[in-house]
Amino acid sequence: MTDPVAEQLSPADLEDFKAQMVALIPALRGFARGLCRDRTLADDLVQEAMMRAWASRHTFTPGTNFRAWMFMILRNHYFSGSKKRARYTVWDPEAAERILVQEPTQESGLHVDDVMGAIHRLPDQQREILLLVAGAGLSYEEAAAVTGANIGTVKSRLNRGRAAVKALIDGPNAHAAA
Amino acid sequence: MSVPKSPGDRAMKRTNLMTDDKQPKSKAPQPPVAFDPVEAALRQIFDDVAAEDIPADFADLVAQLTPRSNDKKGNK
Repeated sequence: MTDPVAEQLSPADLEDFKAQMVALIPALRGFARGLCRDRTLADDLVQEAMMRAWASRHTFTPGTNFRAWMFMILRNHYFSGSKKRARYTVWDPEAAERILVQEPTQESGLHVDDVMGAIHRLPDQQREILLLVAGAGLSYEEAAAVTGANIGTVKSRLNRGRAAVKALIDGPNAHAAA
Repeated sequence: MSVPKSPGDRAMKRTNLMTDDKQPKSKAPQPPVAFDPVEAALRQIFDDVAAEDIPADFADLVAQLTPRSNDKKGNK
């Protein structure tokens, strides 16, 4: 059986593809861990994404955004799998509304565990944008390409996500201090 | 690729349109870059992950990526 992919890409292209993928492993691991909050599951997710990307390498256009392409594969794989795992946190819009009207009381020095805990209470759409833009350092354009949203929506989700995380962290502190 | 403009940039542009062009633009006060604790914490989380050693099974996987390894071996 012939391998059509190997015929399309030169050895140099293949090595370049592999090198780009390897360079992204740390950021992909961070994103995956932020999505599923489980180290082992996150690493499995990254490895599966890498294998999918390799198997689909002939669909990647050289010169386009490889980083966004890889994050999109990982993200889509996670969300398709998470439906089976049914590990979603139920989001209560009314509760969120009550939380978000509180003024944040802390200006800096948030504990990363508190932030991660709060992020996992966000809707998936806000969580993934926070992880992509604030965590992995993707541009708005890249995050839009990864998630399939437009740039305005990315900015909106980012701002709402940031506000929600602050409110979730500051809420109990403010309540305890009162 | 265009760089997203902040509301502050747009406000500055409007202000400049309404002032005399002979005024030196360098004297315009620059808005301070706001420190966002949530972004800082998220960046810290990603930096911590990046500082970790990458597990050996990643190297094994990369070694297996050959032109003929198109099958998704990890499918469960």
